[in-house]
Amino acid sequence: MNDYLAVFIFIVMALGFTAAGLITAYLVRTSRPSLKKNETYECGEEPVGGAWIQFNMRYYVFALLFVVFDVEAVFLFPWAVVFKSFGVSALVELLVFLGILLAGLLYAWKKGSLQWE
Amino acid sequence: MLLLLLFAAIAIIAAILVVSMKNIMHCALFLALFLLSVAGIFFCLDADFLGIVQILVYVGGIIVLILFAVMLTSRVSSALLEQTNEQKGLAITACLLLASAITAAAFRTPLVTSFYTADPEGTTRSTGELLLTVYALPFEIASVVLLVALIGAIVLAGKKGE
Repeated sequence: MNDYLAVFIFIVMALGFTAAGLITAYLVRTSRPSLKKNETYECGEEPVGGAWIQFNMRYYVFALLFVVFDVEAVFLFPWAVVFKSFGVSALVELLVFLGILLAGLLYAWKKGSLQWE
Repeated sequence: MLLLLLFAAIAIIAAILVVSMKNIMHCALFLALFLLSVAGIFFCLDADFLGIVQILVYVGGIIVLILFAVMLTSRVSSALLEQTNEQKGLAITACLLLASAITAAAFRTPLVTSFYTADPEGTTRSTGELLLTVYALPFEIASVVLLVALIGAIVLAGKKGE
């Protein structure tokens, strides 16, 4: 708990720094809006249309794959903490775990889900 | 304790905003805030591994999935999509019933309240030890479950010529 108190203090400081910066800027700046100024800033490019367009369906497959491997990564944390004290048996258990998932990755690869056509 | 109450308050406010905001994109972002404050509650209760999982999987993964789902729907261009629940009364009744059932169950179950073992390493180490010894088989089965989810996702979402 005490270890994470430091993290919490960092979060509070980060939020406070952002808020203080924005509020100070709001208090001291002059406001003279014009049509050009209010345009969306897009790295010097002229923005075309809205940003909320319908995205390509293929992104969703990647997101689903990401969630699966995200959950897999969760299992790696407790494993990594105790790996040293367990030695080879821990390695074997993890290799079985990863091997089963590797089959899934190979299936996705074979099906062409990893490809962007 | 004070922090716990703070996170709980943020969670409740964010959860209410999730179901009451007009813009569905904002709903998704408040859902992220809600899940983050639940992670904060986990940290306050010394369940650091659960907190990390909450952030990694829910805030990192599920929210991405939900945002993608929002952006993939064609009606998202109408930003102020009217979010109305025509069965509001029914929904509130069901939620109240569920909440009272959970509360009753929580009060009837003899909960272990003194698991503060003061482990300086947190819960991740003990979780890892259990995963490699007592729960070695469920650990490997979890990978099979993930494999099934992976293949299911590809079969359902990865159809050619959608």
